[in-house]
Amino acid sequence: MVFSSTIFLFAFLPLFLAVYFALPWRAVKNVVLLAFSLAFYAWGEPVYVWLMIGSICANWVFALLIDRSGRDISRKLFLVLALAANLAVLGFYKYQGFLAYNVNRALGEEFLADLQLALPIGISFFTLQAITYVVDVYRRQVQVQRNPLYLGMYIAMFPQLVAGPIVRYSDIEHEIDNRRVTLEGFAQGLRLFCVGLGKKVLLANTAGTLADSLLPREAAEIGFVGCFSGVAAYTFQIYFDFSGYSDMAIGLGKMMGFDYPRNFNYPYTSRSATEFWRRWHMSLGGFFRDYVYIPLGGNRVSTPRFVLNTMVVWGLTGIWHGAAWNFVLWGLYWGILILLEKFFVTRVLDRLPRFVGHIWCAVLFFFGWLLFAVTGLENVGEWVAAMFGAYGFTGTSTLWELQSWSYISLVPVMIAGSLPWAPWLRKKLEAWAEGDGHRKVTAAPEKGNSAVPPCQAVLRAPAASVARARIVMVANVFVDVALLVVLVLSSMSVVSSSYNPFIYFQF
Amino acid sequence: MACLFLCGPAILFGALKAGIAVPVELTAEPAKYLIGGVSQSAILPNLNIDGFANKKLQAAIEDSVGNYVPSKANALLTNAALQRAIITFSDLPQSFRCYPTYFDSSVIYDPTCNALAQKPLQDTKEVQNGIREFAVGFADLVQKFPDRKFVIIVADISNTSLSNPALCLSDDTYTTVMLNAMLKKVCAGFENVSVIDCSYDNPRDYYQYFYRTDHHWNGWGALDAYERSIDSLESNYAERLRGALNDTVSLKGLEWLSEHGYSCRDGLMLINEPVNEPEFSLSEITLEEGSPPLMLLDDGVARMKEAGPIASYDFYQTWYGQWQDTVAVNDGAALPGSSALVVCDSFGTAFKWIASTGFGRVETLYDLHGNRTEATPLAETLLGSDCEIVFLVACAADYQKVLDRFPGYLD
Repeated sequence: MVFSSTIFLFAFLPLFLAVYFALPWRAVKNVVLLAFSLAFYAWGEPVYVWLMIGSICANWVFALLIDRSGRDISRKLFLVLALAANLAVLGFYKYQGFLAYNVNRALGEEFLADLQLALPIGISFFTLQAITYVVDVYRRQVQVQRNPLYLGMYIAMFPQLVAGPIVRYSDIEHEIDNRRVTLEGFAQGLRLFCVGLGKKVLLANTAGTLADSLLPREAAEIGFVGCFSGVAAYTFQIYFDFSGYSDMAIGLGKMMGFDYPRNFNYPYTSRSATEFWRRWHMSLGGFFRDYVYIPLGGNRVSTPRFVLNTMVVWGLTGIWHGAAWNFVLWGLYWGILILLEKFFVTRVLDRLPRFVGHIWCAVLFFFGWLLFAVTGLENVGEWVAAMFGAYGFTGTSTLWELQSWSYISLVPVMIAGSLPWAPWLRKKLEAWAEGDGHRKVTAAPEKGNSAVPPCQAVLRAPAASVARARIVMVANVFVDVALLVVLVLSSMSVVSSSYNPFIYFQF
Repeated sequence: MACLFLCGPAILFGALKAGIAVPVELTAEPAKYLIGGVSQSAILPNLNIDGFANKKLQAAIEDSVGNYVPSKANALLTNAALQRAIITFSDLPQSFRCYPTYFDSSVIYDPTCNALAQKPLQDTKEVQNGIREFAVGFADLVQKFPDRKFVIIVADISNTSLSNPALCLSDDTYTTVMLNAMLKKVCAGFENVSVIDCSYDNPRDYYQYFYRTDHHWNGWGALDAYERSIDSLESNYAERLRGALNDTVSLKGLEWLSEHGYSCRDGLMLINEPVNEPEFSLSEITLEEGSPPLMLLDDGVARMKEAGPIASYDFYQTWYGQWQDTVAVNDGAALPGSSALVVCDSFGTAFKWIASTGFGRVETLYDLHGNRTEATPLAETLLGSDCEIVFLVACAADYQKVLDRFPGYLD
């Protein structure tokens, strides 16, 4: 089940909210949330739901064993066993076919059978969440959870189950027993859900129709226009798809009283690869930083070791995204770029006008998505050649056939959707209403800002005048009406569309 | 407000189950005339562990929820209209002659003619091979039956017609003219075969014979194809058939009805098209099986009115009959003992009634229709039939695919 489906929007969500809020006891709410989460998962994975239940039980037991062991050696042993079990399950279901294909190809004989296993939805996400839990228990950063139902609720929680953000146990440890649900929090969550739904359905799906029609084709067939617009469409699709889904997840969490971490912070406004990865899929970057990169020694090591650590982390980031060489290459591509920036490029970029950095980064993520999206490594070179005009303007097709032209008027909307004009306007309005119109505001700071900003203007100081307070109120009402329109348009699109892909299911 | 909106289907479901009279526009009922509007949902047969494990239960429940979306038809049409507005706006710099009715739609809209058409058929190897195999198989077949006359008609459906506005905007397309040329080449020298060219190269001619909102020809298109067929026959034969036809054609007043057609349903764009159909005095006709279509009934026009929206959305089939039936038509007024076989796809639905004016018996086989799942080899059918003439009537894609579906059909 995906959030952008009729069954979720018009049946699962209203039913869940009705049951969840009808019950006054938090303990029962937690069990209801677990039950609905398992039902949500079983809807799409009726068999693999047992795998998830197994994962919950195993991690609950391992964490208890780690917690109860007095000796460091036994704590470490249980941690290793827990990590091995989690990674073995992930490796088996996600990489068995990839491994078999490559081993057999290298040996020239069928040494390993390809078991043709279907990838359990969300396994990459819930496995990482489980790992954060047992590692944090080992590090004594969180209390062990003695109630298996509560741990199950954390691992299986449906808002972030299939596509993140990767919520660490420490993020919600306190909220499992102590969260407060307020009408304002619920409204904020609902607003964020509408924003995410609009991004996913109205923008990502629309860009996806163009991307899906062009990406599987030969570069020679579609030429410069086809290749360029195909990758451009994919660039927008993956951002709106994933960030939209994250917004919906965070919004649903807020409706229930959970504060999930922010996952996207306007990544396409970045000025370097390093900054891009501080803004893109922040919860994944944070996981690899805290659970892989720093344990490897981070940057407090010799330069060769630092380079190795960086490449290991980015190789893992790539392969995490999918079992194919494209993804490995894509991860290493970012690793190399980040190293280049660390040693050379940043020094140059800092001396140049800001827009050069934006162009540099746009080129990087554009070609990055090319590696990511085009099927088969052998085709990547052809596509790059096509973008430099090797196959003419439109290849063997006509401009009309490519249909890229029919999306042109959406380009400004897509660009606007990728820019932080809304938080900038909100902050400006707040400053003006508080009588400090000249206050300098930063729409999307590069660092920090882990909480998702509200969709409405909230005054932290008394308004400078009654009139200004009223204008803020009118602006907030206007935002709510606009979001209601987005919800209606998105629902119409969901009802209409049999085309509702979700890119991150492959992860 | 947003929560209430999300509860819409539940409220509608509750209201309908409670017997509350809900205006039909607020239900999903009108959406059943649109492609993908309403799905058949089978919850009860799948309400078991197996149904859940193989996800059929989930699919049935999802269909069922979709069927209770309030004002679903309006949602579908409005969403498509919004996408069309974006496409139209995007088209301003280029001003192409036509554009898709929504993103990724297979239906295109031609504003100058206010008509809908399908995207042109691509001239792929698959199409070429399919057509070649059919043409060669057909040439072999006709040689086995030198005493029978074969008339092959390629219906000029919009995706292969030269009048398609997207044709000049596309490369490597396959056209009716190309198929006609291939058939003529392969069948050259066979006196018992006529390849009838009824293609139109401009929209003005085309829309006299084809609907603006449906992929089929109208009655005039079927009549035009039949008249051209007659002209290709020996003079005495042609004279007889033409004489039988001349007496019968007149106009019937169906002008009150506007048609939306299959292309509207598929393209989610409603265009009103005044009905313009010929009337054939076919009072002598009887069917050996099945029920007569409305066009044969004295009160057919009245029944069209009673049929409700489907008469407008699916005029061609409602008026001329369903293609699924294998029907034999007997015309007592025509020459007794003469008979014809019509092997066709849905284009034969209108054609067979016109052909029946000249023959005592017309048998129709819809073997060429894409949805047909089984067929007897044509040679076997011909051995058991005493027909004088075999009409093959279909669009290019159905000729191309018939041997894929029934590999031994022309053996």
